[in-house]
Amino acid sequence: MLNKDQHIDRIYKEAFSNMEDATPPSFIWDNINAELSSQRRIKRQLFIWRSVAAVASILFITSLFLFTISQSPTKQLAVNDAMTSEPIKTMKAKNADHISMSHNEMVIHSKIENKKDISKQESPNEQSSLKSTQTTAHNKTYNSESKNVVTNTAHRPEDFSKLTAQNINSIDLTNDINYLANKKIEKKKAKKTYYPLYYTQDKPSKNNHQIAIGGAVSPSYNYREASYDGVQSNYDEAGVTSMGGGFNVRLKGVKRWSFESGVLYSKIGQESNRDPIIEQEYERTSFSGLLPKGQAAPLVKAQNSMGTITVQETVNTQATSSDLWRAPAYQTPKQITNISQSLDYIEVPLLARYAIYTGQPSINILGGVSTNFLINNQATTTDNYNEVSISETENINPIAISSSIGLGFEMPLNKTISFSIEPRFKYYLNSISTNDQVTFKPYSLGVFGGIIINL
Amino acid sequence: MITNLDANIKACQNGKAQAQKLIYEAFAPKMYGICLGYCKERATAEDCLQEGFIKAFTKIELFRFDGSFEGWLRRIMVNTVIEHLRKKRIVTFVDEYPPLRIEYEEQFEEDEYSTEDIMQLMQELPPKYRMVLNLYAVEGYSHQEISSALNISLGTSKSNLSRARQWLKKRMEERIIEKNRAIC
Repeated sequence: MLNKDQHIDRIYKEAFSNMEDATPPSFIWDNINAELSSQRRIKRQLFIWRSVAAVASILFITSLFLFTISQSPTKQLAVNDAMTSEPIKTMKAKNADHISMSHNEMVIHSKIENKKDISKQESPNEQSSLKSTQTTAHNKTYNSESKNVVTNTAHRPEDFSKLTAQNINSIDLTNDINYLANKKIEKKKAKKTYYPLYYTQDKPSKNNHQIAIGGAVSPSYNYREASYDGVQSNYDEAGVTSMGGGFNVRLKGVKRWSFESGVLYSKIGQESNRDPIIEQEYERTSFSGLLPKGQAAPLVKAQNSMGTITVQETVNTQATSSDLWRAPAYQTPKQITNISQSLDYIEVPLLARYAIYTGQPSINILGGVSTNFLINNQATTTDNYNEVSISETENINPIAISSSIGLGFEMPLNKTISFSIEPRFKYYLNSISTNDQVTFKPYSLGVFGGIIINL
Repeated sequence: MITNLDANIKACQNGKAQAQKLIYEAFAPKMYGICLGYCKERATAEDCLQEGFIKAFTKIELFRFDGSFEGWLRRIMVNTVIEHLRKKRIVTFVDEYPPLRIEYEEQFEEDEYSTEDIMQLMQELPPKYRMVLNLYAVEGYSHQEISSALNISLGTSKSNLSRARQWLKKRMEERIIEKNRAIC
């Protein structure tokens, strides 16, 4: 026969089992499905943002790679040789007319944009005149070293009428050879560059001030500079990684300066662990001895470099044989071996940028300060694979000031949109804790990736 | 019972809505029963069921196929109920008293009560007693585990269990007496 207690327990369990076949109302699944769909949507959006950041990074690295290759000395020489050696060889081998024409073709391609217009206007005879005229024009260039003379002279109709066979024969080959040799040296000095993706020549902007808006996401690693004046447990503390991001507005100022503000989300925090084998409890408020019956026991607290966490609803007292006294038994959740503390901020930055290189990609340095508004303060632990909120870190300042410095790379995709990658270092100027004993200044290293739209 | 459970769990881990529905349909009745067993109000049980399934589907990638999925789901559901009741402060446990010594004058015979009677009594059982009795008798928790889960002391756990049994026994005796009178 079963023990009496076991008997009533068995009866109860059987009755309970019979209850385990109830049909829940249909709206419950609808609610669950709606919630899960919402979570899926958020995950998708997060995925899209991360993908944009990844694509931006890949594009940036690829373009940087191509950019570097195109600037290598070997390639540079090859480009110059291709442009100059052929006419020289031709000059030696063939007659002066041919030499002049080869050279002129090159000059026409590289310098005169409206060649087609001219060709259309002239008869075949006139076209040959055109070439000779340009040769004459080119000779003028050697003396004046002004490219404008070439273009302007070639386009003047009256020059065409001056063309004669004698003009062709009077071409000075020595000048051509000297010109090409000089040109080679000039080109070496000029470091001609090919841009693989997109290249626009610098145009004078219509306005001195331009506005650009942008969005960026940033994976970042966060840790802290900390000191604590009081008694502190020897926790194993570590930094955390987080995602942040937001929108910004940039006012492009005079010369190479621009100024930026916006709204960003950022998250900082840390993880502290204890050794689960040692089973050492998180530090609690000091108490020893017995408590009179009816007197509340002190709360269990976790104390680390960020501050104090009062663990919710974890205080118990255990009965003793005495009717008057009881011993406090601090029943911290036994699964707690780690605590994650996180602080979420909305950040309003004020940054200044200076372009140290205006090519493609442009490179700028940035620096400034941000005001950080605390929007969430949470301490969690992992219990049975679930993240469980246990409390929050006490005495956290609702507003914190931080400074940022960084290096920005921007690669235009077209005239309006640019990709940007910005490694940034952020450091909090004041302690985030209002507790005088605690000095906790977080810092983070993040890489912002995003797009900039020039308005 | 759902066929190819593992495949459906894997599909859930990949966020497939259809698989989630299949899993829900397979386990919802049983889990709803569990929630009803812990909650006095039907609406509270429905809230817990909903919350528990959302939590399970959100964390399903943590299920490693080491044990039974039903056991894993059941544990999540029970934890959800405990957390829910604690948040709403529905359950307040009695302070610790010396454990009561229950003297049963006689053992109940199987034919003296019906399952419906017990189920009805379960609904009437005060939440503070029901929680401990459920965890102890149905889920098989030890007092140590109960005290950890509910954040109460070992003494409170034992005391509440003892009182739950006493309450149940008393009501069952009353019912049997009423039935016998009705027959006479």
